Amino acid sequence: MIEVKDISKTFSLSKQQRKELGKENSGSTVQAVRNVSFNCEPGRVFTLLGPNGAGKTTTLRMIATILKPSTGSIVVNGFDTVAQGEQVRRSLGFLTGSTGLYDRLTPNETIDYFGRLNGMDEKTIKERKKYLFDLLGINSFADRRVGKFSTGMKQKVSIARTMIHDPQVVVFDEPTSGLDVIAAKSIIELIRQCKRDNKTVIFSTHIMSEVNMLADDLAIIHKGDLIYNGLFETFRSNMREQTLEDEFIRIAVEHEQSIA
Amino acid sequence: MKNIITIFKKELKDIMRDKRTLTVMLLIPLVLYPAIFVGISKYMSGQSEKAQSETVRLGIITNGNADHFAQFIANMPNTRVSDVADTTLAKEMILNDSIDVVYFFPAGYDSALAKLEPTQFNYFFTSTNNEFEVGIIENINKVYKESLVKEKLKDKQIPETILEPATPVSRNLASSREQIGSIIGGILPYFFIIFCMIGCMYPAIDLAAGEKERGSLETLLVSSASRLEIYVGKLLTVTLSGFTSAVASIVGIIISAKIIGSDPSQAAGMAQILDLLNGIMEPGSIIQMLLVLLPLNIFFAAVTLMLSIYARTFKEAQSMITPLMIFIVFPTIFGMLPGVRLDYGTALVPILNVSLGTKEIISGTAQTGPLLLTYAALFIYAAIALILSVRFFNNEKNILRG
Repeated sequence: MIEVKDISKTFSLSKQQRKELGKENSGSTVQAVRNVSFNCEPGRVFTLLGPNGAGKTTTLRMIATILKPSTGSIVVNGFDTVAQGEQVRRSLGFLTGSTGLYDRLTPNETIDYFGRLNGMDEKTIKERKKYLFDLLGINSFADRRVGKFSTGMKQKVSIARTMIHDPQVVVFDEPTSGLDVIAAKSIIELIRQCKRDNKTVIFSTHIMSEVNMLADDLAIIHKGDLIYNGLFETFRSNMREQTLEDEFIRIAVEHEQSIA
Repeated sequence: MKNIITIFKKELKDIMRDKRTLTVMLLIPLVLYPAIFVGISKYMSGQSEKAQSETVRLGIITNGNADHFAQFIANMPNTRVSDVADTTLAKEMILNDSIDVVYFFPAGYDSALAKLEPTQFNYFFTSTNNEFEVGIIENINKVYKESLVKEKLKDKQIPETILEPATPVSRNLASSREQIGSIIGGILPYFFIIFCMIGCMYPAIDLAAGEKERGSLETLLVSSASRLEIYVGKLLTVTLSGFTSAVASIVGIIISAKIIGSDPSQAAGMAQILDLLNGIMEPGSIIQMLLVLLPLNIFFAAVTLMLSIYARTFKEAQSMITPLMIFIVFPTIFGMLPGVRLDYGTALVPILNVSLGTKEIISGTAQTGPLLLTYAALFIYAAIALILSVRFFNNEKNILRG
């Protein structure tokens, strides 16, 4: 369960960043996320949809305790992300499109490392690792260094690393970006499996087909504001446009006009 | 604590598999440096042998006198003497390199000498003569002049002691370790300070900016380990790498000295240096050196990690950290200059205090007060760097700058 209550995130800007933003922002700060609230329930896939720079990654990083909200609060499985960061992280898995692995370590060493860091004992790591390696087909390259793996192989190891401690909450930050069709399919299947396992799943994307395939609940974020939050079925039945893409563009344009 | 050990062990395994770090940390100080030192020593030894066997082709234009010089030069080693007809031929022979030097004595040279009247002789040469030939020529002039003076004194029945009525005899009360230490003591800290920094540099860049660039830092931050645990695990790895590199540089120098010392022609010169290096290996000196090396390593590790975590990419971290070498090399070299000593002022200047402190530890001349102040200053600077570095690491703005 994730409860996001009225969170905002403000970043201070360096001189260089202000220069780059030009007339768009003359202040010394930028608000990446503004008064966002939503809940993610176990056994459902919560989809955060938005274009690049909308505030999706910032929101997910706050849920994962990498960033602290400037205002508001986030509770994950009953633990506050600011005051009880370690407990939150123990029950949380985080997967991005960038595999973020250590090239000089083998899958075996990588998974052992993250298992230990997540407080697991050696016996449990061994059992869980066997289950995941069998499931994902990692055994044949488990003792080879990651550096020379294909993207697909790396993504499998990355999934095993995310799931080694069997987290109750799984955060996917644009997990298929930059992946080929086969690697992307394995991620989609993982999200479905997490849902079947009654885990709380939040995933961000800007790909409409993925929303169609996976979303139970939908939140649309645009320029830091949450402009839709509800059931995906309801969203689809109330669409004024023919396609999801067109409907998303319509809502985004309306929002842009309202804040102009 | 468990997480710190887990991170430390993983980071250590990771950098030990990195060829670039291994090269800088172990291969260069342990193999390349001894190879360079031994190579230079062999070259110098060869040059010395060459100098001894070098012969100068010397011509004389006597103008019917200068018999004394002719006799003198015939007994000088490293010369091959021949008569030359005149100065025109002499110049031609020198320019076409068929002779190295021609001595020209004017008519009446002998009679002027006999009357103790001022006179002169000339010698033609080219400034392109090699340094061995120039040395031999200068020695001929010096010895010839001395022989003339002695002969004249003898003629006048004046004892030679008039040239040096009293001979100053110096007695250096400094121990052999102090004497050699003051000469080469400055070189050792130069090596280990530089290697200390280089040993920290690459792992720090790889473990912070490198991880950031590869995207693995984000996944590490989402693990149950706290930021402080992650930081300490990385800091310990970088510190150990710098320390290993510094120690390897000292071992490399000892290996070089032993190899050079095993050469019979070099053994005499190297014996004292080997004694000095063995002296450094005494427990007292080791403890004193470790007290300098430990805070210095922590200081370097904290600073390099701080800059590396701020950098967006591996390349940016390299360009930020590499210029630091100037701030390290300059005070280190300054510490090698004669007359610069460890006192209550220099003990407070970072890097310079390490250079001077180590030099005096090696020489065995370190004074307790300035040395203790050096330790205190180094630990304080390391603590400040550490505090700033931890704050830097905890600041999400730096850690996610990209």
